[in-house]
Amino acid sequence: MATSRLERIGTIFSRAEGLLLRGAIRPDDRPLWFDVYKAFPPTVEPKYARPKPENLTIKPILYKEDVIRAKFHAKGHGLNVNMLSLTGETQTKKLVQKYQQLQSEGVAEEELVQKSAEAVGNARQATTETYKVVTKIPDSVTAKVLAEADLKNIFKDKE
Amino acid sequence: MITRCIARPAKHAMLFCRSNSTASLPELEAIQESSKALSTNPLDHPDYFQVHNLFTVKDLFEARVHFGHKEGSLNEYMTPYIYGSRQGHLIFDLDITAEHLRKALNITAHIAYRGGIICFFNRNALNAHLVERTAQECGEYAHTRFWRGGIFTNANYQFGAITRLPDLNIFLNTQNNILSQHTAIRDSAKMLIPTIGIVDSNCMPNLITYPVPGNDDTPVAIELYCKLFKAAITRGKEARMKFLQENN
Repeated sequence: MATSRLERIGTIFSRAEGLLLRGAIRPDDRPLWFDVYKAFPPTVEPKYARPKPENLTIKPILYKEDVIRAKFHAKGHGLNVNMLSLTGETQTKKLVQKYQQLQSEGVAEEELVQKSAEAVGNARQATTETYKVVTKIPDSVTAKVLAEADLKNIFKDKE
Repeated sequence: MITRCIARPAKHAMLFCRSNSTASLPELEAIQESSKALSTNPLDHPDYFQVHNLFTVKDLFEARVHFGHKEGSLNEYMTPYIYGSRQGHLIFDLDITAEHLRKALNITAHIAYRGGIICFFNRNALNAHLVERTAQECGEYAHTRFWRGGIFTNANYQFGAITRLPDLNIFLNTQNNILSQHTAIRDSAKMLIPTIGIVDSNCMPNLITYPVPGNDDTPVAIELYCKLFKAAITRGKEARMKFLQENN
């Protein structure tokens, strides 16, 4: 096509339209996308040279619970993840929920972190003992290996 | 795969495009005016192919589309699409993403409806097979390998024949690596080919005709994009087949 290849000047639409208006190409030979673009133009004109966005500030995303999270993380609680089951709530979320529950029950402020960490830790211990690995594809080799594996004693030497 | 573009004759699509055109000749417009009551021109519809029901914002969230890169790598042109920063990691505003993605899907369906050639691009080896498979499944093309310069700009010489270039390029990631942008984006703009691109927070959206802000690394997210674009293309092609059957 007779178009200019200077892609930084104007947009693909303005360059194609220019050719059409000046008769460089016949209306019948216009690009296939031309009418589609005309009916649904992009939200921002795709010009290479355009001013930078005015508001460059990015707001931090913070939550009220972050204060509680920080308390747990400072003590090293809630940082480990069970990668065998990525579904369900994270350790930190469980800790925060327990913390809030204990707080509403009126437990002293200094004991809150310690007590909720213990409670969640115990609950976790209980679930890992009866833990069954759920795999995506039941017939796969991975599923078979995991079914036979003794996860609790996985680091112990076999006799 | 792009070399196969040569073999496809352009005639059918061009004829189809002309017979289904919206503007230009005054007498044609007059005819269209008179039959406006039963207007069947898909371009008059805001969403003719119903692409808005393909996904919800929750689907995007579950596919981890909202995760951007770290703050330091932000491209300033991406700031309007960012919701905020969580501990130094940028998070996209999924409402804006959804709007852009719906627009992109609508364009894809319209181009497919008009018989355009669509080419998928991706330079991430992890997702390359998925992208190629998607292109194959919807009967379109993909280029996920090293881009030899001049495939678009010097096509007739490189392929030794007059070459029909794609009518729409979909970039599932727009970077070659973290440092440089895919050359095909520049070349598409040179050759007047519209582009749709998933732009992450470290990418430059300026030359992309329909940018979609979102995560372009995670396989789950790419899977979702592939599924959506495939659905849009299928809808466009089905409508095209229906139109051709009714009018022949």
